[in-house]
Amino acid sequence: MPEPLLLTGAPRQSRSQLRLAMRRFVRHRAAMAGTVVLVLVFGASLIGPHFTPYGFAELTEDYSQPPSAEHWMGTDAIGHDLLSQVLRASQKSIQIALVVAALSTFIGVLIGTVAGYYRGWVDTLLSRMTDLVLVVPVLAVLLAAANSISQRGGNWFLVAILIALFLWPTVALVVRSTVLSLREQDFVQAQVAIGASDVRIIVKHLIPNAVGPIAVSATLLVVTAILLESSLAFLGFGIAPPDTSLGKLVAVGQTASSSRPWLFYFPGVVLLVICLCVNFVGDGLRDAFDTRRSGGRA
Amino acid sequence: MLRYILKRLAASVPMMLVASFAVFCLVALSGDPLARLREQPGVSAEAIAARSEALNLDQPLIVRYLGWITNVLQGNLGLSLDGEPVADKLTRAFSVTLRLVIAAAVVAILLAVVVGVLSAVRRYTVWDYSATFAAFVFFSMPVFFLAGVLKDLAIRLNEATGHVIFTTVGERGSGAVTGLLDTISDRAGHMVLPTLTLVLVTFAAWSRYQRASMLEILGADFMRTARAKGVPERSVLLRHGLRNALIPLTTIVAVDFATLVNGSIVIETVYAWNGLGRLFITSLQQGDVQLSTAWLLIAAGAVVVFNLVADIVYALLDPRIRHA
Repeated sequence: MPEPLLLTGAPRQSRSQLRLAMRRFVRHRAAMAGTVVLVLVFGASLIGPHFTPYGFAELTEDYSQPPSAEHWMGTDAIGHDLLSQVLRASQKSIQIALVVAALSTFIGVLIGTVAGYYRGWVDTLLSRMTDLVLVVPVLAVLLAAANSISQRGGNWFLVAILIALFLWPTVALVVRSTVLSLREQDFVQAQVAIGASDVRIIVKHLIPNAVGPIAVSATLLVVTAILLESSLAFLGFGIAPPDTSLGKLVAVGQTASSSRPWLFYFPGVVLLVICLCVNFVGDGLRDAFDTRRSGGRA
Repeated sequence: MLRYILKRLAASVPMMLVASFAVFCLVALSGDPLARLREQPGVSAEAIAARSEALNLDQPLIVRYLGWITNVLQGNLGLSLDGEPVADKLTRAFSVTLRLVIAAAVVAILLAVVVGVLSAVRRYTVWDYSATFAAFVFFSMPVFFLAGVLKDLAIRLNEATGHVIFTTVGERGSGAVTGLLDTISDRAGHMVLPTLTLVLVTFAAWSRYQRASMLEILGADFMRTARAKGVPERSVLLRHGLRNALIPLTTIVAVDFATLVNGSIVIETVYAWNGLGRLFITSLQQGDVQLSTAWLLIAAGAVVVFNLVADIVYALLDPRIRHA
């Protein structure tokens, strides 16, 4: 059967490109290792709390115990079981990171496509705004804003929304430049010619073809989000007790790192491993989609 | 060139005004500045009213902003909670943080250039792979964890040897230090660990950019031309390659100024440095609104200045920009 005109070429091509990218990703050893470890950590943080004998806020009779068969990661000075706390904290960190990544990717894609597609003064305005938010020292601003969040009970969802409001510019930049080059291509021009609406062109043709760069920058946002959230918690802002975060656990452990090193090193290493794995995944995605961008950090 | 600089300078004035308004709103809307005062026992209603009056809290936001910005433009940043002028506090802390940030930035740039260029020139060798791995570890590393690890290791080393090899607390010794040389060695000794921490977390990403831009230059036509002309390899790499490969890094470093600010807030907290970062944290904890607003304004100003400098350096290095 002959092809039903070349107008349907784009989505088709993007599907097979996606499959190719998937295959390349699976062959990327570091990225696959990162994915497996991440799934394990996230799975453990979700399922683990049902199997650990202690709650994360429960006070046991064991004070400042080093790691043992009973408490795999030891206990802190007031008897918290560290393993239960680390599991709970990882769960919160990953939750926040996923919400941040989803939200800021959404905002970034929206602003990036609109700026790239419509160009002109819309682009100028949105790009100015993007540049402005891009250079904000995010941690300082978040600290000032998070101050009021911790006064309002430290809701983790609020923390996530707040972080997301500052992380979208990297996505917007990438999407804008991708859309700028895509919109000049024949298949998009063909859509314009047959009278497709702007929304249809953007949703059906531009965004699907920009999925590679979007996925890569969204992954990098996850790391940025985790690092920001844990830094906030480390400095005593954001999530409020009894709930906990890896940054908070490291902060508590750091004060006693010479006498009770387990309190400092276990949560810290878990945090590092999570970030490292997400970065590996991001690197694998970048190679798989072959977008030429190097990584940044918060 | 002068015209270009003036144009950029003019563009940053409205930017600063927008930033000042945003900063003022952020602090004003982020909570009741009198909350802590109200919670304290034994604070009379008059004292609270006086404080409220001092901050013009009965006025609408825009009026308060106009009053504040007028004062700021006249060089008056207001008073801190303890009655000391905000400007004095900021100046004192500024010099402390500046030491850290400048030293770290210089070392990190040098390190990033060396590591990045070597990685590019010796691509896919053991050296390149180890540099890549190290970069990955360091930009996945939370600053506070790295700072804590280095501090912990230093304390253990000090205990093991019985000497204070690395100082881990404060930006200066507690005893009275006399003489210029002693002062310098005292400050430098306290700088080692914080600077090392900031260098490690910033150079990682920069070295990756440097590697990428060097790789791009290595494949450029003019490099082949230079070799074909018979220019010695060393000179091809340094005079033709490196000089061009350095240009992108200037932009990255300037945009990453925010990273340095973020890093120094955390590092100063871990190493108990009385710099800007710690001052900011305390001001937030104490609800010292005048101080936190002024702090954020200075930070915004620094960001704008940094970007301006980067644009100018970029234009100096690359004539294509200023004639665009």
